[in-house]
Amino acid sequence: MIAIHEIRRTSIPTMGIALFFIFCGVNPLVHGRAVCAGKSSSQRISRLRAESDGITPGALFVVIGETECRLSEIVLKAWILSGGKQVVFSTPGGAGGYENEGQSLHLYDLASDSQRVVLSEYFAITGVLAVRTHAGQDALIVEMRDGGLGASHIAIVDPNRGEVFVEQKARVVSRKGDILTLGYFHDEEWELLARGETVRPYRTKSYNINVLLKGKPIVREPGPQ
Amino acid sequence: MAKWKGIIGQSFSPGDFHSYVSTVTFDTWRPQFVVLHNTAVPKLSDWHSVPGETRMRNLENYYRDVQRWSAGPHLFVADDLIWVFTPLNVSGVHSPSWNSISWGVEMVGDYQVETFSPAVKRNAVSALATLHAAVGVDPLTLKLHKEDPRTTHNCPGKNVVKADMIAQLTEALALLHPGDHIPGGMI
Repeated sequence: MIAIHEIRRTSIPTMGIALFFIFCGVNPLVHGRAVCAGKSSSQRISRLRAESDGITPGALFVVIGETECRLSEIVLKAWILSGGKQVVFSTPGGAGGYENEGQSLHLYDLASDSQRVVLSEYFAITGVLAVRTHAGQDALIVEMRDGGLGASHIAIVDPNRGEVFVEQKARVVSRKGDILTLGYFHDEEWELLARGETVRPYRTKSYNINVLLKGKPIVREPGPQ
Repeated sequence: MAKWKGIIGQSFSPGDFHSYVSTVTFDTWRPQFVVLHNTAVPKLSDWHSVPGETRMRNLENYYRDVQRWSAGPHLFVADDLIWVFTPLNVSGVHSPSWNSISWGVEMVGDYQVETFSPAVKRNAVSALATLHAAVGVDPLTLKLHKEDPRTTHNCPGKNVVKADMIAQLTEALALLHPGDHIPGGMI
């Protein structure tokens, strides 16, 4: 892969191929090919630059030191993790969902200069939080939302194995150490929450993230519509 | 799980839809406006690969059992027929901020990538005119799903132009209810 900042050093035919990929929206990065190659293991991603407004996808650039690499062409939102060693980003094209709003979550690792899909869901991804449990396991707490009811949905992702837990129509009410507490709301209450009103969950349930990480990987399939 | 509100699952020509709506009473729930959507999936080019009745059953399973919602949108407007899904006199589920106060009308297609089908547009305008007339709603209150600040995606796609839809809806409403006034006439 040829990053934008490297184009000026390449031949005209190579430049043409690179421009074809860039302007035709073809992403040559998704199969694990190098995107920010040549970085030392001590370097960190300091900043992201996304051309998306969160609804319409756009290119995502990562800033490493003085240089900027083009990570993907069709990104919606992105988050820096692990002190700049990794980036997760959402893209359209999940597992279908209401009006095909489902999205995928990709994990990019700077040290190996590779990326992979770690979640493909029915919903839009609105937030990602990386946590390390007391047992030393890494987990991603992924907040999602649907565009019909407006409910929140919570997934737990094992960065190595993918999505291992999902709870629909629930939101995080607290996290203390490894204990994640979700709140559940009645359907009509999601509209009140959407308007910014305060609503107490009718039920809460606590989960140990270490236990959730032992779950089987979840593969969502688009349902017939 | 939320109690499922049921579906009508019947299809109508635009004229028959007008007659059908005239039989519906709005004594328990009355919407304030219509929110316009497109299905994205299925695309219009895929819609007829499955019989309409099967589509309705699939959609019912999808909204009830996969999404675990209490209802779905109210109408699915295709290029041939208007399908009533959620009963028009109960609130549906289709747009986060407006479910309790609006009808949800899905136009079949993905109008971010498909050309806005003239037949779908014609049937949608007719259905909207019938709905607006039924409860006396101003066409200017029409909203697109993507105008809901809590939605997550670009719906309907860019090929649906709100001003154009409102203009055609206003025209259709005038034809539906021309009134007694004869322009320029005298009694």
